[in-house]
Amino acid sequence: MIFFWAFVIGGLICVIGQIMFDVFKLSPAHTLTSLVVLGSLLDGLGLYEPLIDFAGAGATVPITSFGNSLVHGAMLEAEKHGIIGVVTGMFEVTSAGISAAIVFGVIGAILFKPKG
Amino acid sequence: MLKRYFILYILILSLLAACSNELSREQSPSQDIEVKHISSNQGSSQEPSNQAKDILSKNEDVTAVKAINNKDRMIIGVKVKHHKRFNLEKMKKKLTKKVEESFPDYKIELSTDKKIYLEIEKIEEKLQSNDLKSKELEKEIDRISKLSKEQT
Amino acid sequence: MANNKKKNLPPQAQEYQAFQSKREVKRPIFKNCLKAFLIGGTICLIGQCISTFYIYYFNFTEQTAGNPTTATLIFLTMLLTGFGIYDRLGQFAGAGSAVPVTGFGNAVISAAIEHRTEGFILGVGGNMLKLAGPVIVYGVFSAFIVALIKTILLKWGGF
Repeated sequence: MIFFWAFVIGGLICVIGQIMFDVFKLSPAHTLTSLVVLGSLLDGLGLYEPLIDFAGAGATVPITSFGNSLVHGAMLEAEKHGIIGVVTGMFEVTSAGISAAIVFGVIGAILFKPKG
Repeated sequence: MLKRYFILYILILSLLAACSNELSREQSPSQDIEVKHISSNQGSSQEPSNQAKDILSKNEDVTAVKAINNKDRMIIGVKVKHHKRFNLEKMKKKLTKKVEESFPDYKIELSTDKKIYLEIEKIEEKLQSNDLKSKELEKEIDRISKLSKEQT
Repeated sequence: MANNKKKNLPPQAQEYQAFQSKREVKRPIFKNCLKAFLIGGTICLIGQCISTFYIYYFNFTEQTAGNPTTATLIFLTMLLTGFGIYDRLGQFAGAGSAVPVTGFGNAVISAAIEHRTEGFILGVGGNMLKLAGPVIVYGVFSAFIVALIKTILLKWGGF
């Protein structure tokens, strides 16, 4: 069942992105940025975690989950160390996306030839 | 050419979706779920766990439950109906409370995580075949408890 | 050419042309959304399969399996981007390939590959985060604001 809902919810989040492309005529950078901010807001409201429980990868694979993880890291650290934790704790729970992208970016630049 | 693959892909997807819905309907009829009672003649008796499993299996949203315990701790792994996963936190609290009511002396740790469920299942099987000494059971319960608290 | 035809037609037909052209734009949006839904959903489905694989065969829980899943997906994205397949997928699926984390990875990796000729430090290093930059900057900043508000509310409201 989780495979079905991963597909559906993931697809729906991408449709939201597509509507931002086509109807609001936003660029990819604007769209992705808005979606990350949306992920942060939804986690602030406590709505994103239930979505992850329900849809699994359908909610963790889209870029919105990046915003969710940042808020989580900040909240965890704030619980332990007070309000300063909001600034220091953000990347504690998430670094996989950025680290992997940078590492494989450099490896890719070494291995692959640029295409015209 | 590409259009043909595209249509084929959509057909396969709809077939998979139909199959998965059929499967889940077959697996969750409104009857009692199977609960395995573990009897081990080494170390701690698994009677509290067996009772906890019975209590939880009466809840209509629980589709599977596994539990192990030692003298003062109990670790439970549950599977709940998929549409209830939206309120997973509430479910966990509700189910934990229910078990705590019957076992106030035990420290109850309940998890809906698939991995925790799998690990408890493995330990249950070892207990059933009397392959686990009580010190090893302690270690395993510690390990599973730590695993369930990991955040990254 | 269609505009020339428009001027020669009686006003009712012109009205209809305007009405028709208004309606015609809607179709690509629906098709695009459908394509985005299918491709985006597939990428997430693949992510779910990878996640389940890590849960069953490695020591990851549902909570912790997200990290290796993301790393694996971005590794696959590196291969697809390197061989030029991801760009074709992007043309077809639009947001379906840009919104998942693979799209983020593709943006970083394709920028890195393209700017290799300008040298590794300035070319690759300097241009890699052109698209990723705003995402990270405003992700962090919005998370900061949200977490700040939440922490303050928790301390003062006690909920």
